[in-house]
Amino acid sequence: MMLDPYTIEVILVMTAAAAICRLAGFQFMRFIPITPRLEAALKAIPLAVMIGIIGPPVLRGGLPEIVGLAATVVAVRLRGNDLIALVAGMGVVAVLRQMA
Amino acid sequence: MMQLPVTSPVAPPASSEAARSVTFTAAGLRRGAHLSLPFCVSSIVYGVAFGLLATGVGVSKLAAVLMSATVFSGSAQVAVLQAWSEHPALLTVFITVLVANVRYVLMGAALRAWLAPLGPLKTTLILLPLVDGSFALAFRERERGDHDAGVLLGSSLVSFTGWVVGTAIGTTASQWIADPRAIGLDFIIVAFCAASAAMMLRARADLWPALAAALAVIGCERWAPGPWTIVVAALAAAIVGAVRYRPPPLLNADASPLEPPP
Repeated sequence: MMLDPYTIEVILVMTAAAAICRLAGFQFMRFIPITPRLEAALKAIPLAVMIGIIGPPVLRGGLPEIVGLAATVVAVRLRGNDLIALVAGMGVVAVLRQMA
Repeated sequence: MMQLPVTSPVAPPASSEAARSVTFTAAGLRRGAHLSLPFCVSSIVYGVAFGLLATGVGVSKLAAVLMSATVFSGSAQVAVLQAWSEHPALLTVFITVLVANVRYVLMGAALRAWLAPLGPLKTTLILLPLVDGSFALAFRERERGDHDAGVLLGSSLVSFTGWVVGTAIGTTASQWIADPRAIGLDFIIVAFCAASAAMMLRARADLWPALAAALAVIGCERWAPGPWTIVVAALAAAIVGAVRYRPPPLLNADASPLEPPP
């Protein structure tokens, strides 16, 4: 099993970026003060990343994806357990795709 | 570290230093690992989902496992693989991973006061596998009086192991599944992120940054679909989050401008 040069480059770039994020706050934040406003901006990002991952497949999909997304959100709200929500969402998508 | 004898009974100069006490022991490592076993299950499941996604977009088993072992960031890896068929530019990949992991900058800054006395080598070792669950768990244990940084590393390593093993299982399992789409396997990642987002939303008072992110995604999909969608969504949310930030009201009610006139 071989790794092509592009894949190796991507993995190296990703490794560097992830390591920078994990080390930067500790190493450099004594020079850059985190103001409450900057903190508010940074805290808004994780949820936006999730929305950015969810959005395209659902917008490019159809009814199964939309209902599956709704089922996942309802399940996690009712049960508070992400594994149950995962199975619920997948199950709904699978069933609706079979019927389509 | 030198400890000066405390002479003043009114304002002991060492009080902030005492709060900073930190140890780093094998017993702490074991404690952290033991407390994190529940995380291990979700790490494995998410890892399996990532492995299936990776194989689905044509990434080899070796590359997927290597990526999980070196990057160790679910959302960043998923974001890059979702754009894989478009062969994203390395700069786009770099920015995407930075954006997906920017929360670690805040966690690292928060850990500084606690971990700094350990020195650069140990802190680097502890910070490299840092992950949301281990950060939360270690801070909880520290509040309870356990200042052992081994708890943090032990917890991180359990999640890391689950993630890499899960990825390997997912890439292996994919060859036995004839049509992953038919049983909704390609939807696992979306469901995982939707569940995380729903949990994050519950604790969040301000919905405007999330709305800005959603509008940014719709706009990107409509006019400029591509691997930058996540970066655009994150920037939109960050800007709205910063603009909408209001300093907390002063504790002194007399100074409040919102006080109704008498």
